[in-house]
Amino acid sequence: MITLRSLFGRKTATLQSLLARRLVLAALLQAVLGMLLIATLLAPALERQASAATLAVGNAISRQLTDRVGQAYLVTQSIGRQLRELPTAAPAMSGRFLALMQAQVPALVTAYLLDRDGRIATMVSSEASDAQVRQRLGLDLSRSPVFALAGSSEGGFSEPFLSSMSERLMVAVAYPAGAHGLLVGEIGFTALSEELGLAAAQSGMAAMIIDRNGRVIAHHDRNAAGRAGQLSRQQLASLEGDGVHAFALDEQEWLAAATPLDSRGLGWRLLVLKPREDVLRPVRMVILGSALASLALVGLAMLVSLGLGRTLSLRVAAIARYADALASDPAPAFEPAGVEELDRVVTRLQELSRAVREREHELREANQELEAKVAARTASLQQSNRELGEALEAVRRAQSDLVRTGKLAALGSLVAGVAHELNTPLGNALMAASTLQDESQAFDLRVQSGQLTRSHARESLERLREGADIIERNLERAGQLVSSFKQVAVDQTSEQYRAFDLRQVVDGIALVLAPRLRKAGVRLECQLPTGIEMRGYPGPLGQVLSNLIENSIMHGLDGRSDGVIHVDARLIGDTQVELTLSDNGAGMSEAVRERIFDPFFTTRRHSGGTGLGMTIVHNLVTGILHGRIEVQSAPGDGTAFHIRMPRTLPTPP
Amino acid sequence: MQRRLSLQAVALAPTGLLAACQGRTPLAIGFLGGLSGKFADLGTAERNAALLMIEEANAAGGVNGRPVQLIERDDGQNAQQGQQGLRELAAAGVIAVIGPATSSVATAVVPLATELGLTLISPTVTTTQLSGKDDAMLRVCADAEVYGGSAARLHAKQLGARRVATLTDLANADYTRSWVGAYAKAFGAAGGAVAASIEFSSTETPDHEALARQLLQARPDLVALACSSVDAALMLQKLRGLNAKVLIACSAWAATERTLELAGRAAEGVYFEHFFDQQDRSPAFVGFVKRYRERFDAAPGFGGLLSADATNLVLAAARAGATRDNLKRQLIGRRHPGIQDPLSIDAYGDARREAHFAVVRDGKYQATGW
Repeated sequence: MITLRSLFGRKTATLQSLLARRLVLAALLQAVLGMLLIATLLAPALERQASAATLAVGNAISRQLTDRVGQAYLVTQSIGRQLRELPTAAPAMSGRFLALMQAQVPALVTAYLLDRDGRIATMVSSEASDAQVRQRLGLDLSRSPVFALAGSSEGGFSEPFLSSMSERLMVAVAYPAGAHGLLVGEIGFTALSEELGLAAAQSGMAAMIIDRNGRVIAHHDRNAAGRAGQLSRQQLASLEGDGVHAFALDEQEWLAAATPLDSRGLGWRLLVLKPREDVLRPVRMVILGSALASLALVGLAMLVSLGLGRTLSLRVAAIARYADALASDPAPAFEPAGVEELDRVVTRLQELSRAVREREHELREANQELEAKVAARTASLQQSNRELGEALEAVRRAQSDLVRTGKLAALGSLVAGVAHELNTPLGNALMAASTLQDESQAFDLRVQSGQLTRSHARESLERLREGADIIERNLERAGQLVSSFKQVAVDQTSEQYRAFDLRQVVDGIALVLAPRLRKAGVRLECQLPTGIEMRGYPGPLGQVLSNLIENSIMHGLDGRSDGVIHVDARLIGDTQVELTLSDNGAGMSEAVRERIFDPFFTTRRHSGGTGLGMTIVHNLVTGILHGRIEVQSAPGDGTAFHIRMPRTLPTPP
Repeated sequence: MQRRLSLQAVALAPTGLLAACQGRTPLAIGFLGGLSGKFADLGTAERNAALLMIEEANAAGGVNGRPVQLIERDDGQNAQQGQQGLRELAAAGVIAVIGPATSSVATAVVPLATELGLTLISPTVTTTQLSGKDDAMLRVCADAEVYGGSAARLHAKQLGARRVATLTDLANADYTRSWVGAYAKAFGAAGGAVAASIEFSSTETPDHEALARQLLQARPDLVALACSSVDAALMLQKLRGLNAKVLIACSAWAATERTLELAGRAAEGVYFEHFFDQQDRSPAFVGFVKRYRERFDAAPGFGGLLSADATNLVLAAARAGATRDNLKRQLIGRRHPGIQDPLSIDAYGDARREAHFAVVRDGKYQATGW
């Protein structure tokens, strides 16, 4: 369906609309070009032709009429001259001259001689009766413009005027005839109008003569000739200049050629008029014809585009269907369209289809390979994953083992220490007890033997008392040790949150490690003040101290007999505690110091060091104790550990 | 200015006409008057004056932007021709018609104009027959009653005339009879007597000499002529030829330049009634006369002046938006400006205007100052 909308409305055009658009545009263009050609070439040519013809006719007629009018003057002049020669003669004589003049100028209606006073002396008329002529004789024309011509020696023409003789428009030609006065001929325009009428009839044009004021003095149409026609200023203005002009008259448009009719300063003009319609009609016909032809062409264009468009779109649709078919069936049937370009498209489509299939095949194979690879990788990845998982598990177990072992080790050493320490007071107590036994036995003997003296009894009682004191003191000491150890053990094996005095914890650790210290020849000096109350986890704190001391013993003070470890603490503000542990050992190099907290880092692997001690210290300080640990050390300068931690840790949930 | 046919004009002539039809159509004013025949000078002067007024209006941009066009028809001093001309003017769509020039044509065409619904504004029709009538004709001059009557009174008073002999041209009887009738009545009322009342027809080759003798036979103090320029001029020549002393007066119809031209010396001392003041030096009047003379190489005369007044009336009404149907209503019962003096048009379309009087001295009209 071709609608205007379908032609110009959509963005993507159908074949039909595209064709229609183009063809219609071409047709319209042709129409416009045609009109332009007509306007620029045909119309001016026709105009020129018409103008030339009109002008030619005008020139011809005006030449003729000028001669005629000029002739009238010449005759008047000749007669006038002849009269001049004559002595003053009788009216009859002059009358004959007048008659002669009239004979030679057919257009002459009245001829008369005006005397010096301007009165009519003699007169002949081709119209008036004798009686009327007689009546006119003696008439005073002194005030008439005709008489004014008496002033010029060569006479001439008057302006057209309404004659009282003939009672219509006339022009007077005059020549001073000496003593006879002024010879005047009144010429009518009827003859001129008749001439115009003839010429007009022959050439098919209208014609008129106008005087210098635009008054119509002669007209090809005799009815109009009698009327005092007058051209308006606008009409006169349109006639200015040479050549042919556009001219409006009687509600019609004309082509007018104005040629001068100028004899002896008459200032008349001959207008030859051709109806503009005559010029325009052929042009209009051509334009109309051209317009119709264009219209037909546009219609044809639409039809052709309809047909052609339909055919093409059907063929193209067939190709589209073929393309669809190719998608499923590798070699569908095809009929050639009979249009080269379209068939080429089909061939290309076939090649395209083949190429596509090959690629498809390649792709599928590649895809399969890829899948296999992916599966393999996945499997191996899964395997690695599993192994990693196991390894991780092993590591975790090792870690917890280590921790447990550490803890057990700590506990073990703790027990060993406890046992060791207890030996002394218990040994002392045993010794004292045995002494007491001996003493009591001795007393007993004395009693039995009756050799007990007062002084012996006093001495024995004194010795018994001393002995009991010693036992009591030592057993108290043992009890203290046990409770102290118990606390440390509990602390060590549990992560119990409680309030504690820092000094107490430190002392507890010192006690536990006493044997170790003694064995290593290291003196532990606790310089920290009492009264530093803390709330937190004393167990881990004790572990930290323990490990640090152990570290100093093993590394810094190894092989030394004068090793000293200082333990000091101070409050920083109200909320922080700084615990310092320093030794006068060998110190560490920067390389070692940097790695001291690294897991499994040890400079003493082969002597049984796990390399985890310091790591545990770092973890505990930064972890559960919420603190920081810094190490200062230089080779030969000893080592100092500064632990800064909050006094009060948040209560556990 | 050269005006060649332009390409566009030719190729698009149809569209040009179409455009012209819509909105820039010229305003057409009609003219009906005697453009041929014996009295053609009056009609021509009236037509020329109307044309001049229209040309000047066009030069000033037209009427409300529309160009004005004069469509003329010649009545040939003929009732039938006048009626035909009027019909053609009505068909041409004119807004109003200036004219006719003469009373005899007027009485013939006024009923038709009323029928056609077309308004006539006559410059110089003075017949009393159309006075006091609610018809299609408006005037810019008073009627013969006024002119004839005042002439008679002044002649009696200023010239001391007691016996008058009148001459009436029957070719324009509607005017001349009105005038002579009014004159006789007023002359009688002023104590004078009409010694002779002679009628002739200028269309029938009158014998002016015989007429002159007839008039003088009655031994009048004053001869009053109610005829046109040509006849008046010839009568003056003949009367003077016979009697150098008798007072002669002419009605305004003969008060033209042509009479002076044709009468020659016989016009000296003759009294003329005028439709306007010859001595007026007002710029409007002087300017008008000058422009008319430049354009047409002649004097406008009373016909030209009155026709100019009539045309200006129509132009003014058109500017105020009048149409053919309401033009008359817009003009009657009002005072209007004239070139020389204002004029009032009453409800019947008759105008009040003054008569002026002149005497010929040295071949020129001179106001008497009556």
